[in-house]
Amino acid sequence: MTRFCAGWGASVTEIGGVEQVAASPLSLGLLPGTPSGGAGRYTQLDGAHMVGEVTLFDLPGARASLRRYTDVRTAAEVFLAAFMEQGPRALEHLPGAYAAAIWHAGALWLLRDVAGACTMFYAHTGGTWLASDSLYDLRSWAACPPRLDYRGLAAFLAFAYVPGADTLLAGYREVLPGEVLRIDADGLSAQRVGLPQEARAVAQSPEPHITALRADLETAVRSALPDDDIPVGVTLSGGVDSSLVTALAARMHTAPVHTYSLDFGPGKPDESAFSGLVAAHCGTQHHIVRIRERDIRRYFADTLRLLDAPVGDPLTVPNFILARAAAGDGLSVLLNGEGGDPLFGGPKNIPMLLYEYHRTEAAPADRYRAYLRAYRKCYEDLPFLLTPDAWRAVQATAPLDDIIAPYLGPNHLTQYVNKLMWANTALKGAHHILPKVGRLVAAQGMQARSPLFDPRIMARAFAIPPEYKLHGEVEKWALKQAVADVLPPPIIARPKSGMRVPVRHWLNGVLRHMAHELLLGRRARARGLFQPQMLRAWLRDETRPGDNAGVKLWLVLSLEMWLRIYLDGDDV
Amino acid sequence: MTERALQTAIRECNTHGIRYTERQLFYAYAGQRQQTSQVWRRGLVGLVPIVAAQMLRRPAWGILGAMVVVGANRLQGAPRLRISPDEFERQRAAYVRHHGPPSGLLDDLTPPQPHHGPPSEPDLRDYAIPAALICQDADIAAMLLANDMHVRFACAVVTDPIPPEVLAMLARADEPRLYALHDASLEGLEWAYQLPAKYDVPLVAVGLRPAHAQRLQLLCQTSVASPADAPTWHTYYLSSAERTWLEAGYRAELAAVPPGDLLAQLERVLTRGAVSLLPREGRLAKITRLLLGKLG
Repeated sequence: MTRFCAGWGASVTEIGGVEQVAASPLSLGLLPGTPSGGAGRYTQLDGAHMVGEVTLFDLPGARASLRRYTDVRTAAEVFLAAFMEQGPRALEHLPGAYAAAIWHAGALWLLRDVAGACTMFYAHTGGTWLASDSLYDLRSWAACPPRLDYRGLAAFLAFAYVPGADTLLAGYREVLPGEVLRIDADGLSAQRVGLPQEARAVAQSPEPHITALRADLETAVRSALPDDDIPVGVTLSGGVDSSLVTALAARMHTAPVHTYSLDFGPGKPDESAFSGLVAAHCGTQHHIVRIRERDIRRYFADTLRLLDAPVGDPLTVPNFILARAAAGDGLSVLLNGEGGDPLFGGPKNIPMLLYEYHRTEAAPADRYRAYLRAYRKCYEDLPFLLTPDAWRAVQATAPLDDIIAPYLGPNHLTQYVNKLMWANTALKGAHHILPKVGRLVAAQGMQARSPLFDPRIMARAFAIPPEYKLHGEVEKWALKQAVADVLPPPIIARPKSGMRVPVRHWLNGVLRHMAHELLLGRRARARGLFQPQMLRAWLRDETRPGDNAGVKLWLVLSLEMWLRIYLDGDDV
Repeated sequence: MTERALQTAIRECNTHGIRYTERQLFYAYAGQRQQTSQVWRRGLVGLVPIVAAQMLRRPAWGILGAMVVVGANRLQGAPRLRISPDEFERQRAAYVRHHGPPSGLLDDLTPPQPHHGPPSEPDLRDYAIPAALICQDADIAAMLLANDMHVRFACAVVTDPIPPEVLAMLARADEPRLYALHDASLEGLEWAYQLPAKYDVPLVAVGLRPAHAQRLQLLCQTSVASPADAPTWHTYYLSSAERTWLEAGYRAELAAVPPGDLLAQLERVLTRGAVSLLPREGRLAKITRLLLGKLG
């Protein structure tokens, strides 16, 4: 359980790091014993030094691509060698989950994998820099005391996570997926690699695309599996994505495959019929994890403590409980089906196509704001939800448009659906899905692997013509065709539903007291962020038609708990 | 009192930041004004039996009599629109002078237009849309778009005639649906009735029907249209009560439905498979309605 840290002009000891390299102005170190998991390591090679967490999905291939350093063995050594040989472009050729700080060529390099599976944060003040994959540890830097970032606040309320380089702490930034930062005496410069590429020559028939996608899916799942004699777990909702990962894992893995599904109890949303069907079809050892309401209350703070950026998704605590159950069965690797929606034509695409069709305004920002509204969280509520002081503070920051503009504005992609896919993967994938599953699973001593976010699958997804991803109104058509032979037909035909979580039931039941204290209690009122009458209206289930007041309340609850831990320093 | 009625109407229309048309505000204002005068009228009417009972030294009879008189007053046909647009316009102008434009009012309505020329993105029309909502009233269509119905519920919002590119996108869907929104009037029903002949898309006429106007207690207008000119009533699958309502010359505009209620009921239709604009009715409310219907 180790995370890592690096400094330029500042020592990692300032945040409790154990220094591995101290060569002024550089400092590289490790943060051992952290409860949030992590597998940080120190590596050196030919005068270069690296602290980081590195998993390469194709280690033999990566090793074979090296020209000078042919005798390196571990994934970290291979990664460092590739970076020394190829520079930032190495990230494009190294599918994997990694974040690292490298001292090389007189500069400190901070980098993060193209999908964003691992995280990296940094802060600077007066020409000194500190970075770590743990914001929880980094925020203890005395030179940059934690304060609320109001733009981060607005972003969290609009997205239910904090996208882009912002965090909820002023002065603290996050490295973007595929971004390489260089810090030296001249300051900071950034480069982004691994941008998605559309296919230049498009095949008329879908079959070649589907065949190639199937081969890539098998490669990605095989790469994600542990050694053959080690059992593996898969989180299985019964949707297409998690079902296809289960089916391919069951076909290729020789050790037992365990599948895990959530059950919220009698009378609550239940997907066990679908997950059970897939488990029986694939011959897995199926486990149904019962989510008891008292466990939601018990693990709520623990879960938020693990997330360097809060996630306002009500499934977060159940995900944590599921990971605990899998760890209790002695597993070391837990696969998931995350990534199918954002990469292959997920549920926001048709609404955004309709927005674009009906659009009368020419200003590009209108498209970005429609994307924000399409999340259906609190973006439109901000002027009513925030207190006048908080709303003024938000308005004094840059609008959220520039988070979305690189993806939905004019860029190198020519197809609108591909732009939406890029926005979905770079924002929700890299700042919500992957960090969330990574942290929750790592905290249990396991490794989360998301084969559908494998860079090879991501590259394939962008190379497939958009009309085969969103085929008519059928979302994920190409993906479904590619795995139709390994899944029961009802799973392929099943419309996307999303996991429904009984939030309202929790808020009216076992969480009632905690919710009122977190939303309307003395500390929340003293923080002065939210209008109590708006929260009371949501507690009465009064909100804009079509919106879910319970989901919005959960978002605010998660935020308040996170602020108590990360801003106020509460110990949980 | 009139200014307070307008302020209340604006607040109700703009609940949760909902945007609304001037016609919707007019109906909300009229509802406020007429509700106030109705309370006074019922109060005065109810006083008569109480005073009479006091004179007869039978106070219990007075309370019973007041309940009967007020109840009978409630059952008097459909509530009619009694406020003139001119009065509303005067109040609105006075409000604007003192407070500025009403919050959320759509003063520059842009009804959905057919899109000529190339789309803003090359692949925009290459896909399918599962549903479209066709509105008899262009202002209502503009209001629905302003409130992001199309983004929130994955449904195109159009007026008649439907642009060919929308029809093409609907045709690519496996199970396309066309939802029709119209007034509870002879013209509205006739318009909805003609749609299946014009468009080869399965139609769901979600309302308004006369029954909706009656159940929702919408402010109605009376028209001079002669029932003798009406098409055959049975083609609309109307109940006898609905036919009677139409024959009496009643009509209710969709704009009379409060904007928040309209969006909420459309959400039920578009995402939860409901087939009409009527809100779900509680058991007690249903029994009460049936009893009152029998009494009426």
